Amino acid sequence: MPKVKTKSAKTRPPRLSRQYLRDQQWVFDHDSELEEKYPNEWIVVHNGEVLATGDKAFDVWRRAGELGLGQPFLFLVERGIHVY
Amino acid sequence: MSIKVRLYWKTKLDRLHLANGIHVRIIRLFVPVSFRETTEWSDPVNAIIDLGSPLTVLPKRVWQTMQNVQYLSDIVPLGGVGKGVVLARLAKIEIAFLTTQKEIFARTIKAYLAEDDAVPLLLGVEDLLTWARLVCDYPKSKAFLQV
Repeated sequence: MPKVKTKSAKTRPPRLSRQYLRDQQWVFDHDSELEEKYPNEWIVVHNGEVLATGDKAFDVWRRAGELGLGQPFLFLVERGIHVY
Repeated sequence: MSIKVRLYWKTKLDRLHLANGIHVRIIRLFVPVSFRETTEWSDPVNAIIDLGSPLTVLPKRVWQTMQNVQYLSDIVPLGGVGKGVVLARLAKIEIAFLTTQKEIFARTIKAYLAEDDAVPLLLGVEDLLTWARLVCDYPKSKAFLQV
């Protein structure tokens, strides 16, 4: 289970946590596996675990908030090329 | 003294073309940012640096928790994104570019607030590259904004 942190009021922009960057790197490193398992879905990752998935980003984000993660790493696992 | 905001390259191989023996990399450039919601700032979200977008575009999931948004226009259609047209309103918002250091750069910018989540969080040229220098060195896996 992930460590639960109590959120404090953020009256200043937050400093980026090293955990956020570790989670980002984990997603970047495991992109192919994630694409197989969660094509075109939103995921929240913490410590090498996918904690929430879904096709609506806000719902996945809210579930991450309920877990009390300090800075949840939310990501859209794109299958193939998406051009915006 | 200038502030450097690190950007992050993400690279993966396109499996569709790889199956036909064609090597295509899908490359994106990300930056973690935060937005002022009320008196507080949001958790970090990853934005795509998109030089093809003249302005920044926020999906609804990102801006729907913002209060007291200063709108600058009615709803207008944006072409070329999503399924062809995305509806959005121009607004002024506050954005911060996040680093692990104490120096965090916040700024008020103009951005389109999309009516849905069909478009990802895109950082465009206006109010971004008009005041920050973008340095990209993909061969060395480096990229940063210098303010």
